[in-house]
Amino acid sequence: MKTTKIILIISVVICTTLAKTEIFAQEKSDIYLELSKPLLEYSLFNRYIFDAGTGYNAKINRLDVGASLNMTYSKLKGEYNTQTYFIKPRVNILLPIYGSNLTTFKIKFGLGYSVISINNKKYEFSDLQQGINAILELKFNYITKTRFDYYFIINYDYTFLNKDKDFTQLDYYRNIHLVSFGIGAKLKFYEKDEK
Amino acid sequence: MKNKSVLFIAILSIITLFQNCSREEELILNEDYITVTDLIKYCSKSPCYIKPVEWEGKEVKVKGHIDDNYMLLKDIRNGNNIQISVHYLCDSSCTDSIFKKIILSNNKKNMCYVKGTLQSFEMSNMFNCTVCCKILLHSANDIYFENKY
Repeated sequence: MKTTKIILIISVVICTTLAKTEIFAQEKSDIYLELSKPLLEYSLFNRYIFDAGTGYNAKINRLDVGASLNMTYSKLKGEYNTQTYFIKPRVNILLPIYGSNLTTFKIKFGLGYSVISINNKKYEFSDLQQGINAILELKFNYITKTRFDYYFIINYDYTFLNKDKDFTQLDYYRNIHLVSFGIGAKLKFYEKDEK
Repeated sequence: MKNKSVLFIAILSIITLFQNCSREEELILNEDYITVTDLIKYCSKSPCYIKPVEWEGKEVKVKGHIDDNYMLLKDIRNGNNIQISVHYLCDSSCTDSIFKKIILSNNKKNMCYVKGTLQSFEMSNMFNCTVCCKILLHSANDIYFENKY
């Protein structure tokens, strides 16, 4: 019991020391996980439930450059029960527009390709659509003394689907606009870690 | 300065992309089978209180999933639906054959392909008015079911 206590105290001391030294180290990259809820949508589909995403950013000069993978899920309620999945891999650039010791404010631009899968088990219906995808995002980051930072995001997500006469013959429905609000957490890596 | 240029180019490219991609095009009603959602959008573009609408009585080919309880053609991707009914020139035997084909069909899970003529009607509430359409069928041959998926 005494040994466990000692180990616990030593580990707390080591963690605190490491965490404190990390404040002064240069942040080199990060991995993040985020969850958002579409607030506005203009598309053929209805009722987007949520968007989940993960990604990696590396610092190059003042810019963060990285890649991400997001998934948006939509389910049509009632008798139809149609499920729609958006898979969105993207390449992103983040630019800091404001920064202090506690907070940073960044703008993100991402470009990628979207794959949309539509399924309805009752009607044995399935369809796959694809198109280019772009995102413009504002990211409000709260800096902590630990390895984790937390942030709020608001973004505009745009998808332009490839032409498919079976899906729609109107260009209007080839456009998918989403405005979402969400939260995220990132795990930071420092220059020291990589040495 | 360099970063600002990157940002400016990024925003500009999104706007250009959006403008290039959102051009409207005319829908051809009787060539390929169009979706229910496309037809609803097409019909709703017409202004209210102006009669007859330009597409009144035109032939249309539409595809969707049939709901024989309410005689609706549905788009199961988003829940939109459009009413189908029998044309007034169709006699009782023609009407019977149409209903029999729909009701007795055992493959309603399949996509339903419908050919008919358009009839307009207006739906209004206190705030706005929308022009809607329904499809009038002429014979049982105007309907068939097929699974393409």
